[in-house]
Amino acid sequence: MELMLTGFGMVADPAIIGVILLGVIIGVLVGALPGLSSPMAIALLIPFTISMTPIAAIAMLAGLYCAGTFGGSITAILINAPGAPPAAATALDGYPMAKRGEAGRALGLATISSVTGGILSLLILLLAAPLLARIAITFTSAEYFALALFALSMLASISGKSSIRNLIAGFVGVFLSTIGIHLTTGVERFTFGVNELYDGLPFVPVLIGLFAVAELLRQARVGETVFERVRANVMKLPSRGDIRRIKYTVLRSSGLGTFIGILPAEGATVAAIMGYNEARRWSDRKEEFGTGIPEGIAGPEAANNAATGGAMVPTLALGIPGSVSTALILGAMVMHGLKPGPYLLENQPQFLYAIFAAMLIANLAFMAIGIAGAKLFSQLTLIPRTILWPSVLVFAIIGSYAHSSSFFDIWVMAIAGIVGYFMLRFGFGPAPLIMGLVLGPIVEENFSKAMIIHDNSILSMMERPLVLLFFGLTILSLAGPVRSAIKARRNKKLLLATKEGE
Amino acid sequence: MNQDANGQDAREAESQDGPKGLIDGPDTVLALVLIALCVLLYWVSAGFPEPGLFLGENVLPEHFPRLLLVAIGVLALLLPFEHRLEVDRWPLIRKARRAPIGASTFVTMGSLLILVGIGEWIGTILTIVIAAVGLPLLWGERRLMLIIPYAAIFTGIVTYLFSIVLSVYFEPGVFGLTLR
Repeated sequence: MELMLTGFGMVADPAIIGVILLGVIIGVLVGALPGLSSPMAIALLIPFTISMTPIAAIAMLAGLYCAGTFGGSITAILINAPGAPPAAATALDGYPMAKRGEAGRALGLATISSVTGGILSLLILLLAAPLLARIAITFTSAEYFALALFALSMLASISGKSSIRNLIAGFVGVFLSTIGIHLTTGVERFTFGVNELYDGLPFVPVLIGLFAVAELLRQARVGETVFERVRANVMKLPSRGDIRRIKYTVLRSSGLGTFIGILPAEGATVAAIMGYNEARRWSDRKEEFGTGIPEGIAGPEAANNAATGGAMVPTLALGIPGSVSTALILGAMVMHGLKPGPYLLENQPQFLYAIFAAMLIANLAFMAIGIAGAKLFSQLTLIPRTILWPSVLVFAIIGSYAHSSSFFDIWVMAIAGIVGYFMLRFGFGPAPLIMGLVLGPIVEENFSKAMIIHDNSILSMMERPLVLLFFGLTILSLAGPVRSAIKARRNKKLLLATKEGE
Repeated sequence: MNQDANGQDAREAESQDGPKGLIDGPDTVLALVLIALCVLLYWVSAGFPEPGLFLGENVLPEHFPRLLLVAIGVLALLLPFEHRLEVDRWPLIRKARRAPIGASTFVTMGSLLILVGIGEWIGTILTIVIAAVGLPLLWGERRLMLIIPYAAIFTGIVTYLFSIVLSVYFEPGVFGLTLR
């Protein structure tokens, strides 16, 4: 109880509440704007946190993360353009409901479901993270290596165009993390004589390049989009009837979203899609889905926001990110001198309560901001792209430069952006690469230690039951996409055979 | 007319089913490029200096990167056959790959590299002012009454925030532009 009060006290500073609210406003704004994403905003915002205390910085980024996931639903409902991928499923029923003249009701349902999902997942974070940390503290380097390998293998199944390409991008990310001085032997690796690379590839410019500049280059040939807007007067909180109708959907989706969030690498987008599918599966009005029914909004919204709290569980307890956004938050924590993982929760347990309080404030704040400003946020899409994207470029340049006042970092950002653009064209997403870059040092450090302890024998490592379990899970997660591919091939063959028969 | 229609049908079928061959050309090239890079980096890792006698008892510095390079190389070998493995998602990859790269993308890329190249010389403030004014112009924005106030106000706020509030050192460049 005392720890909880200390944690809450850390956030109860007006300045910290101020930065959380700022993070929420930026999050809703970015979430509402198609093309801009939460990971991009977090990457651009990290340089702003350089002079903040670690708790203020992480609270601000956590606030942005929660609000960014919700923000996408505003434009998904009002203009049928999901501002962020996790809101894509919300548009399926949100927009038809809005078109029927019930935009306020749709926004209200989305807000209440999001807030409920977010808060329930935070309660699970509060219970699960210390338990997980207590288990993780007994891990040796072999278990940690196997766990990080499992997290990497999950990249095969995260949303994207291809499992193989996700894995390649993930391994490239891990490889990039090996650039610089090898900590145990002091040998320079892949620096090619560039002094600035001795400490490794600068993290923030790579993030900004991959998320912001690559997208900017993609937007260069996209014309101005004119969206058909639905008139929205005020957001209407759900009626008692609506709440009765969606309560089980919200509870189910919150649980599902939290669980998906906890899985390494899986994020809010997968949670939202599964939340929508499950809402439909459990409904006795399956045929009405897609026509604008409350369950179709509540399912994905509760799930995608629940995934934010869920994703923080492995991030804080194990130091293994649960999603791309948490990978960036984890990077920011390291930048601020914190080492996420079981020892952080063991030595500074109040930190968990502080993050909980920050995310709770963020959830309540986006409810208030969403209710008051939904109409305004939907108008943001009126900002011409010729003004919006140059602003992103300015932030990208200055954000890359700010960390070490070095033009070398701007070069890294520009090159990462161009490489990221071509990666996108060839089906390689930036998310697996960033996950690899964050997991890289954990994988290598524990791999090296485990190899020394186990006399360079992987077989000897596998004598430990948890290592065997994580290796087994790794094989299962790699087999998942193979199974889906075989199933898809079989379905396609069946379809072709049926067509030929006709 | 009929032939045109058949031709169109064939193209549509091809676009839906993907190429009929065992391997996909562009993905084979991509795989070869990746494998060549892996071989090159593997070769570079052979040139790492030997760690000291005591430190040499650790896992050697080239050991882990080489494992990764081998893993990337093996995965790259699957790329040419991916269209036969990922039948559902592969059309999306091809669609993204086939979308033409507009001249504006190349111009933006080139301008960005030039701007970064001259950035140290002209200074940080001028670099961001040029980015704020130049990109709208490059992308066809001609409303100067929109660009000028935007560039002045936006870059002013951002510069003030970083230079004064966050105490970031701004390279003054040859024109000596600085807020401090």
